[in-house]
Amino acid sequence: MRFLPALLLLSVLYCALAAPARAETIATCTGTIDQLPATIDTQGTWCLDHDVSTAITGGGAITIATNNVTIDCNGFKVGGLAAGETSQAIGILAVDQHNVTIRNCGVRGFHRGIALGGGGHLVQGNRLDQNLSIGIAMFGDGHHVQDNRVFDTGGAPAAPSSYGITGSADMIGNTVDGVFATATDATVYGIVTFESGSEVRGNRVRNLAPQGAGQAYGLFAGADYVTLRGNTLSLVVETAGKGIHSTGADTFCTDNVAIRFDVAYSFCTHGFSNVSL
Amino acid sequence: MSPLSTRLGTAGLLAAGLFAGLPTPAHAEIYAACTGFIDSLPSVITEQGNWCLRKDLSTAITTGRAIHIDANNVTLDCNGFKVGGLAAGPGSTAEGIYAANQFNATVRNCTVRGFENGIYLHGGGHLVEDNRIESNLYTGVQMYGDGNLVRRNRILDTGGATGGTASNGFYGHADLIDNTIAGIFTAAPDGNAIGMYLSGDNLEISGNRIRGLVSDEPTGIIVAGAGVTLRGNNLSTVALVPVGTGIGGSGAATACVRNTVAGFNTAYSSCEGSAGNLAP
Repeated sequence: MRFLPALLLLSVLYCALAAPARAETIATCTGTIDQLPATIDTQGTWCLDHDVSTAITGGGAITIATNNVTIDCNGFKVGGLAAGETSQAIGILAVDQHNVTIRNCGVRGFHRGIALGGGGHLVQGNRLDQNLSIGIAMFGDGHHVQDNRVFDTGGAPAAPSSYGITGSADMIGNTVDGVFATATDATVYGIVTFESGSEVRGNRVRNLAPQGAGQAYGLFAGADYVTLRGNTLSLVVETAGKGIHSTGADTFCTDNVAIRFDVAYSFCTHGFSNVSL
Repeated sequence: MSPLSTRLGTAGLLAAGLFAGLPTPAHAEIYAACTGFIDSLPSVITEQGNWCLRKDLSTAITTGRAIHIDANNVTLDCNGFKVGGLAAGPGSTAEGIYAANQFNATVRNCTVRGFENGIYLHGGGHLVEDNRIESNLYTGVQMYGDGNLVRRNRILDTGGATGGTASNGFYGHADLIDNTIAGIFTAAPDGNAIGMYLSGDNLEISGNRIRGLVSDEPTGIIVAGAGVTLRGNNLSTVALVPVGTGIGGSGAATACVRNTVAGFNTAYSSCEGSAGNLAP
């Protein structure tokens, strides 16, 4: 009771200030994730309020085992670097769930940073760096991957390829900077979509480094009716590979820029206003 | 940033919870996710985490830094509050928000005004988003290093440093996405008003709005690096007769796509690859 006057005073101040702000979800969290590995088996919004790390070499650091879960890291880190370069662990994992949201996370040092299967997932505003094979992997349909920054992906021993972002999703406004591989003749991919009718728009892909006879693919469309619009794909030196490559039918490419790929656009069946240098 | 401050913040949130049924602000707030609060200037951040403002702050320092980020992986969220330096006057050489040789700083939701450079970040992997950067004397935002991103900021009325012959909305090395730069001027006659000066390679400048450049020879965007893409930017001057250059590419693999440029003497210069650009 002795705190009541202070609380009332602070309440009045709160009303007077009508605080501005931005999204955070601590105040509305179902709970917080305080250590790794962790399994989420209750729907709701689960948050970080400090950096967390683990040295596990397999499984998920955070495993989402139910539908309708939001993970909001509030800018804090989910770290796995301590497991080393042979780790097979996944930073944030959902195998067959629906409607998962991952936002504001720093995910680093896992074999795959974020791997989500199922449908309806949203991955937004995350920073992924130093993951060993794949930054973000999405399986299923109805996914959306937006405004993430994926840095320095690669380094898993003997891996024949590395990927910044791959899977079935609309991919909007992401930065993929640095994809490399160490195996002989390894191929690297900036962004890959396998969802028919999906959109890949406004992404920046750069610093792709294949090995030997391997290729560099900026954007790879492995489905029909994909639209790729306004993406910037740039390399520091002329490199074997393709800026945009499609294996699907009726691929639409507009307003893209591809710099220093030996083939800028491959199988863009409908193209307009694309630039290659 | 004291433990007492943290406890008061917690109590305030508890109190706020009592009013959960009242009309809420337009957005959520980040107080509960804060590692600590910055309650006075100048201030130095030496610990990783989320550091927040909960009130407007000002200082009259004429040198040094109002907020110095001196650790990696720091987020500074001003929650819309102000970091003010106008009291130092037009001769100030103080920086508003500053980091040197640090990585992965995020600066968001800040109003920064009255410094020589509003935000100055050196190192790499920095993110500057959703800030209002106003009435700074030389540069609104200045950044160096790889992996930087500057998006959705409003950089207003930059210039006026005593004797200053150049002013820049942005200067340095970053992807520049969806920013507004309005009002660039210099105190000295015949100065250079520059919307964006980009020094790095393989970067993107897209979806920005640049207007209100007041100078005999203004430049909307100068690209000094190679492999840069400029897409969907809208540039204009306030001059009665066309002056200066809208987009000045480096010529080294500069791609210009679907930009609009109005009021400049030269709309596009040294765009090696072009498609869909417009100029009157």
